[in-house]
Amino acid sequence: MSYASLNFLILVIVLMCFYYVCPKKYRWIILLLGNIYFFMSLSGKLIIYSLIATIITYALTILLESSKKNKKKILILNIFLVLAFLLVLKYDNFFLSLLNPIINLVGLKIPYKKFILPIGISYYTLEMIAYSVDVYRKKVKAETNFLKLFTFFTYFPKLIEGPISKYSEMKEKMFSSNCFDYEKFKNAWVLIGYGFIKKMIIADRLGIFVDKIFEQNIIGLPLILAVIFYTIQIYCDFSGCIDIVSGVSELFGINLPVNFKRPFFSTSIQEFWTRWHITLGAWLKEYIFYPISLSKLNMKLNMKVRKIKFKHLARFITIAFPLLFVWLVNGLWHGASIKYVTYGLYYYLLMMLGVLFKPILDFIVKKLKINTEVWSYKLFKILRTILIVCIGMLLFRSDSLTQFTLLFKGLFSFTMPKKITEFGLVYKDFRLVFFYILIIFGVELAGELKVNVREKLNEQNLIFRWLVYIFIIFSILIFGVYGYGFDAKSFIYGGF
Amino acid sequence: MKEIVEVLNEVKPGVDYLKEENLITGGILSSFDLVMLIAMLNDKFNINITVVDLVPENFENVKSIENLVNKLK
Amino acid sequence: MKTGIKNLLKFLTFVFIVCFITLKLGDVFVLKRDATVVINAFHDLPKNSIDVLIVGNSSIMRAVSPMELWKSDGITSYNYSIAGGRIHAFYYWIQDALKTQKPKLVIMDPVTFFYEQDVTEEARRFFVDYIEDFDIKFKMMNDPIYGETSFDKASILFPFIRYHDRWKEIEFEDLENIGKTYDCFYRGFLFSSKVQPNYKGNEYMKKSRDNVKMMDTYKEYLYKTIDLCKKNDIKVLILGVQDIRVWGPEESRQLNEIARETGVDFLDLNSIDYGLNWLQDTKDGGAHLNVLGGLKVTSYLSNYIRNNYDIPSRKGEKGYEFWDKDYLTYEKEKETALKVVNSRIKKLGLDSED
Repeated sequence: MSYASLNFLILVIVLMCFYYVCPKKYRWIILLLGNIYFFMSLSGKLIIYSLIATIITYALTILLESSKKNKKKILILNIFLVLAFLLVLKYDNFFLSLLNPIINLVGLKIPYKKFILPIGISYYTLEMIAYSVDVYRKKVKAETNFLKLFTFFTYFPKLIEGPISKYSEMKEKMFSSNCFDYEKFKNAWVLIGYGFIKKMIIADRLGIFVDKIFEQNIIGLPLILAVIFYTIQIYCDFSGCIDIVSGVSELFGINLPVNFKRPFFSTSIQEFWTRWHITLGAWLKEYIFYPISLSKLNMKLNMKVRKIKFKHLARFITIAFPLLFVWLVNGLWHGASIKYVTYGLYYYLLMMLGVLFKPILDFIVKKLKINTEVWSYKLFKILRTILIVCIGMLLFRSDSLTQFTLLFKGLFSFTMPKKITEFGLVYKDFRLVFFYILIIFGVELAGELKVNVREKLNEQNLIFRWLVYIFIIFSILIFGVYGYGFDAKSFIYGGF
Repeated sequence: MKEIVEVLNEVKPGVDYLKEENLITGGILSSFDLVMLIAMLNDKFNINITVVDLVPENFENVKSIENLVNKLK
Repeated sequence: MKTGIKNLLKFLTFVFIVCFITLKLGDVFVLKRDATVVINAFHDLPKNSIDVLIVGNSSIMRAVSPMELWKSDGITSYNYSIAGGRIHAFYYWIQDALKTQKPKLVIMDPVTFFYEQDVTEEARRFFVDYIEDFDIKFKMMNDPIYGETSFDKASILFPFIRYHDRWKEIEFEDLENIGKTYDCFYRGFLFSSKVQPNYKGNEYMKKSRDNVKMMDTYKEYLYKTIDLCKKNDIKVLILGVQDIRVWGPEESRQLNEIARETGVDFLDLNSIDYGLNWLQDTKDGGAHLNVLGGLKVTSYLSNYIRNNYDIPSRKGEKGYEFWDKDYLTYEKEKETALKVVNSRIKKLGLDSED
């Protein structure tokens, strides 16, 4: 079942009833049962992979904590074993595709095998690595209750699309419950409704158009529209789902970490990646970037280059080295193919060029007396960032580098091979999407201006609040993309 | 204390480091800046700041940086 | 505790309002089919006022006129038919009818009994959308034919969600559909003044298609429907209205057997001569009858009913005065249609003596 479905909501409601009826001390067991049910409804017996990985993490972290001499070795073993599941199940064919051409030369070939992945493996593997490293760094004590640990890693709201969470941050709320709070209950449903609007009205609708364009390799103006639409689609789909699961988690009194912070208000791609898929960026920063950048090797490199008095170059190299790993991992994590690696390297290259040429750009800005504080300059930076992100999304959406090159060239063709109404949407659809995008924009603008929209809503009178709730509910029921008349195939949004 | 401000100015000039209290949470120092800062602090004071020391509290202001450096000396 | 109860009441009121709006929106969004759905007015009949229920698809819809039965014998009836209707739909429609009526006789249309495929989902919605009684809706929801997926189940209770995508087509006029009532004077009968002759006459009864077999599900529902009528003390008459596309001698034979086996009556219009003129009495070359054909069938049927069933005449009875009134309206429409159909026959030169 997907998050944006009736079945899921029914599961949540049923679970909630059991949860609040159960005495506070044992409520987390209801969560555990719900997690197992949800996991198995999606992946069946594959839950065994998650179970084994948790057992390994559980045992090795306890061992690590009590050991005196071999802490590092145990940590490395833990990471290796847990990562092995992911690497073999998800990346086997990728590695083979790199390896086979070489071993072909000696007449050997390893056959490709596609494994079915247990749901959430890309997410919970990262969480397990984070957890073991945190135990090693003494940021959190090793959990001695295995079931509690398993409950965390399989926590159903974050299973399919994250956010990537930290055990240290969530364990308190997860295992000690509060009384049912009607205010929080209403707030949670508003967030869930908002997420449904993003996903079912905007994302799924734009997806109809985007899918047809990419299926038919359409170029020219419709393609430009499709690239913009896809960027909006993936944002509304991903952040919409995050809203839904965050709201669901709030129903149980557990707050998930924030994963999106109005990314399209970013003025640079560095800032963008602190506002988009925040938990992934944070994970990469804490467990790849800093360890590598503060490693002895990198520090030595830094010293050597500084000695040659190229301070700027030293900064560039000190960052370029760890950042390369960050972006390779980012790209690969999204998918096991060269296309995704290219996606990561795309941002890497742009960021590095930015760092490298920063002094020159600063010089130009100073000489031309460009005021960097005015809103028009900020707007320019925002639009520039959006443009870079859109090109990145074109790459992300293409099924191969070949299609990407073809379509990228096609962006400049300024033709209109077909009318925009020939891709599954009519003018009314476009107007509708535009209307709801404006609403989303309004809510996000309020957020940028530090207004908490949900709180403000609570302060209003009952009639207004009920009108808003009714607006949300019937927006979804009337304009949501569901039921007959839609080709279900078009919306199979590949999970990671 | 003064040496630390010197290093900070080398990493990112144009900030009044004696006044600012929220170098990390206020977004004044980026993660790139932080890496450069640590590299130079390591070099200057012959210490080894590791990932474990990399908590925001240790780098929020000049005083806390000084405390960290002294701790590791 | 007090705030707890207050909150619960507020919550329940809100949920109620949402359900209410959803149900009313159904009236606006449900696909308003054209005039070939005339059962709308059935639910407006006064309780326990009809003695004969005609149930079927487009064939019998155009073949039996309740108003003629009223005129000739004072019989009160309604033609509860929807185009494409299947036996599994009849099963539920009869139950729906029994909620408000106590007919003594049910006349069923067997034209779709031997079809080789069941209806599409879209056509099946036809059968569900006009049911108003929640009890019947629940039954249909739990029937795998109608409540196939959980979405189907939910959309039986709240038809609006099946048609929500029609927001693109909805105009302001559709808002008038909320709580709309329909004209009742046809009593479900639909007459056409079109003429398109069937030049092949009764040739279709010479040979059936190969492999005539009633689907197992259809058989199951036929038996269930007959049982349902028997349990409620209702006589069953299967009226074989002509449709040259789908009927043949084998179908007649099999249905005769079933009728004998289950103890119901089968009046096969395909195999008797009741005066039907294939050149004048069909609107589409033999698939459906026009107003002339319908009047002939009803006339023959009224004789049959008079001779075989004990259906009382309600003429002059208190509470049935509106039948006379409605008849006058009906008659006017009928005369107009007859004028048109006769002038068409003349134009096509089909009125030559045979």
